[in-house]
Amino acid sequence: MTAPATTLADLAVGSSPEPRSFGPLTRQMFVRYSGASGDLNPMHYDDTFAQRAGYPSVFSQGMHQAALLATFATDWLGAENVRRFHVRFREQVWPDDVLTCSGVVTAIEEQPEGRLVSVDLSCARQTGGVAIASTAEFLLPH
Amino acid sequence: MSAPSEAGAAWEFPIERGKIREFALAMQSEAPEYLAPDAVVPPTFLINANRWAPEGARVPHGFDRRRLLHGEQEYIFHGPPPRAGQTLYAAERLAERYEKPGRRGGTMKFAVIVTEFRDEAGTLIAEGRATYIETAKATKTAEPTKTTEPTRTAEPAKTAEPASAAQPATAAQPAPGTEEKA
Repeated sequence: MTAPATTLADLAVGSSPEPRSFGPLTRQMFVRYSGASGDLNPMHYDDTFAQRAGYPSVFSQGMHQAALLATFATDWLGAENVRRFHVRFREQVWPDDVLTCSGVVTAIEEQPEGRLVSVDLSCARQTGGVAIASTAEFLLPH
Repeated sequence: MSAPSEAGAAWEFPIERGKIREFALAMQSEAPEYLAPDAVVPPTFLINANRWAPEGARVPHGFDRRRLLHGEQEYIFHGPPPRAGQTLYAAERLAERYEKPGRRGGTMKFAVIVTEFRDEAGTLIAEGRATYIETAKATKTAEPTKTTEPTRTAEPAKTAEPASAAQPATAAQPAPGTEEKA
């Protein structure tokens, strides 16, 4: 849930919240994301389709992982405060993977409307491989 | 590198509370900000606009689908994120094209397509920036019917895990949006 205001008031460069894990991931989660996002690419819920394309099974949408990372980020810094959210897709993510989301404050800039907080975010697999590398900005009102 | 000139027609994209709740469930969020009657959109929610683009409104990246990857995605909000009940108008434009040498020869091509989200007054509320990549060598396709054998693992996978042996070595995701071709 959203971090207490006292925590946000204490934010400094280097501040880092407790990481959060998601998973083990299931095909149902991929299907749920397909419907929620409107991207019905069968590669993410039809094993026959995925195997015919040369993959061992279906795999998670990159944007599904990005959405989990967005949950981590907005629980930390506030859903209404997001101003920029960038993701770079790296490793693929498979059923039964466990993802761990983490983040760190890289810069804080005082602006008239509030503090602009820049963060680095990461969504890593249980292997340690990074599935999503992300940067984001949140404007925390005074 | 062609000049960034292409732009598509705008389409209506109403921000709906039920869709936000559905998206919050898929992102495993319990944040009250996504459940309220005036829920704000989650950071990546605007991907939903793609589903409702009318025929011809999407700006083509022009890449070979067998070598196509979705490399990066970004959302920029020019103020608080939009809320349920607002109606936005989405329109795509080609922002940038560039090339880089592939790690093992050939050329990687990049296209950045921006979706602009404006309100009824025409004010720019948010932008989505998608970076598409055409790899230098063929990777796997999202369309099995077109898969030809050389597309498979043109480069060795980076991790030791067996499942990853089938991954394209280029670190990115197969691009979405093949639903009609399934």
